[in-house]
Amino acid sequence: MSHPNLSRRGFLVGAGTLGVVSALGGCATSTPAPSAAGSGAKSATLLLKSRETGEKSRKAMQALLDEFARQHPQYKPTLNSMEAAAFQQQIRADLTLSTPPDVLTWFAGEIASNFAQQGLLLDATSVFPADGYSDQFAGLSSDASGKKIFIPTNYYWWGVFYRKSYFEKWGVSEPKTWDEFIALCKTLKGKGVSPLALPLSDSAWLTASWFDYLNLRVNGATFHRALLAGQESYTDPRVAKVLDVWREVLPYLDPAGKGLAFQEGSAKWQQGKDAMFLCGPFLADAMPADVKADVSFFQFPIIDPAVPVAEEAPLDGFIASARSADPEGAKAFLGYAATPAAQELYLKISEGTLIPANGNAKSPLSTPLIEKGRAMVASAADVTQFFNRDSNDDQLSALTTALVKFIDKPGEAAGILKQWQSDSAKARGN
Amino acid sequence: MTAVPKAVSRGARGAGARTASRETAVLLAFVLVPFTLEMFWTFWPALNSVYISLTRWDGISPPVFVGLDNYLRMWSDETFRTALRNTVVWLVLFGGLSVLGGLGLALLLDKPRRGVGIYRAIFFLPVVFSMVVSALVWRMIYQPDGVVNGLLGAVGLESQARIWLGEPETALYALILPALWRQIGYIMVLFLAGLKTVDPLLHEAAKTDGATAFERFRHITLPQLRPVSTVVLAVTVIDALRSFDIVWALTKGGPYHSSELLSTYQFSTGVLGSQLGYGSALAVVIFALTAGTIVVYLVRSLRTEEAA
Repeated sequence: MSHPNLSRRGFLVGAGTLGVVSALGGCATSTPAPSAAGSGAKSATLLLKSRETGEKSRKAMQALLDEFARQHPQYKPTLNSMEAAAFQQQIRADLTLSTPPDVLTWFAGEIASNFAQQGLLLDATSVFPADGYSDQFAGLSSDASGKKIFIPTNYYWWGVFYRKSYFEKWGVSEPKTWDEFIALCKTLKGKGVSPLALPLSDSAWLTASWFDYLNLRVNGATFHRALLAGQESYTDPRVAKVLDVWREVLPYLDPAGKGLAFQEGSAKWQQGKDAMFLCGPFLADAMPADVKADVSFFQFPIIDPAVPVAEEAPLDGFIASARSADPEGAKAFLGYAATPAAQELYLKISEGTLIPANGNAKSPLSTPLIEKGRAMVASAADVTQFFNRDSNDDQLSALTTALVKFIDKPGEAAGILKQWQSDSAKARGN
Repeated sequence: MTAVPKAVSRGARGAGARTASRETAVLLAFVLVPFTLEMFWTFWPALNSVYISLTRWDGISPPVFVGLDNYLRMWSDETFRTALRNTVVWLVLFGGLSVLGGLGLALLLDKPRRGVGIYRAIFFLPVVFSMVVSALVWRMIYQPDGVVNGLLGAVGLESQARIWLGEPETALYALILPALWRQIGYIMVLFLAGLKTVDPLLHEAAKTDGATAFERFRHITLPQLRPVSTVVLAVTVIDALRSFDIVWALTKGGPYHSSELLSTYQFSTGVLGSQLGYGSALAVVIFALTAGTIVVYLVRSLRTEEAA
């Protein structure tokens, strides 16, 4: 056993040369903090590593730490913010360090479970509130043995976004079922409006939202999870059915989409050139206030009423390292982050269109849009995270290859699914 | 402290020997210090990636030794084959056209003429821009409502309008163009420097003997450019095989791997994904291709030099 470990450490030394550069980057974005070592008193340092680098979310994260330190003066928390992509690449190394960051931002799903399985995550069962989290969220925070390894703080949702004023102008309304949805697309196209936005040039991953929802509506969440976990095959006729259903709306996708970047696609949607956009509320986050007030969404249409309704609600929160030098301090922070007060404080300053995960917390900047999203997720029979959160980025890459090709060549579904299954299995190492 | 006088006394016996041994020490230091650093910063990680390429490793759990499995997997990996084919196309088109274009421009802009500096500057300008910034501009040019399609529409060729970066048939070529746009200026500067070393007397003598312009180019300019050609070839092969920025910035190898190069495929599997073993194997293949091409050329050109 010692040999592979040794050589791995050897590699990490090499990789450390790269790490130095990124670590310097980390310093540049971290908030100046009093040097902790030897600062007298018995205050223990606590390092929080965060992938929130937006100005407001960084301020909010710092406010969270300040408030925690005020309530627990025995801890001296410091914040290290790192750009999300670099953060994501380093988290594996971070968690295996001998002196890791104590607490890290992360999300619920397959990767967190994987970390837990490797014994990398601190058991937070003792600080997980008995009351406040829905059963689904509590389940998503647990490892296979039921230990709580993740503290959810906020989530968002996915839906078909549209602008109320344009729907009024075109004289159309929200569809509930798949047939109504197809009819709506037809009506819009008849009026010379491109019905659906799907910009792919830098965000082919958006195809995953269509696949997730179609699979959830046609086959249900249980099959969806089994498929993503590799227990079912993409060559299964049930997956072929998903593509058959999707084929019905392909003619209504904006054909320019495959050449547009996300920014360009969302601008087109904002101007009403594309009527609808299957997306999360982050779509409108950077848009002017009058547009934001005009934005609404409807639930992804029901295809088979017999299938229990599941929604996508990607859940963000915190994990702590099992190798933390101060597990009590890390747990104290996790316990604090789970409180409604902490979640409200964070969302008040970060101002994103996010919903606090603790059901006892109120949205500090409540809007009809947020409440509509909250109600939709609350009424769902099941909750999934998003394709790559429920699997991993290698699986997402296999999906985008398959689905972008399917959009281009819908007649070649059988071959595409075969290739998808082979790519997926290879990425899993089978 | 007691050792010092001893050493001094021994040194005093023969000053010449002392200087020699000091020189050896300094020389050794000059060799060993950079070697150690290079070992630590470059060779050690590189050797490690060869080892990792023989394992299956997700970056968290201990790596599993799988022998040559990763290399065997490439043969059945359609994406790898596409990436390899695209890399060859890239090497031929990008490499070939940039050398021809660069040489042509250098010949045109070699003679001192009014405003020739301005022209040289214009062609060199793209080299100065960061490729990522250039990519932003080219993205606008290639957009569905962008410059290219606008121009086609203006001359009545709407039917030829395409989503250049979004269609598998055109994406790769749409990426080679901006890469060429930049590389030609660079190669031009290398050849311009080479042309300065050509002795004008040779040209004059040949002219007196009645050689045509083409004959002078073929028998005087080209042979005299041989040293710089070696540099150009090495630079071109390396630049072609490591081309990454423009592809990543514009298509990320898409749509569905149609513009994938070995470099982008390596990045998305080994760095963004969690297949460090397979990603390392791809990196080793890229290294072997680069080193192989250059070694073959160097050996050949050394042989011809010896023969000459």
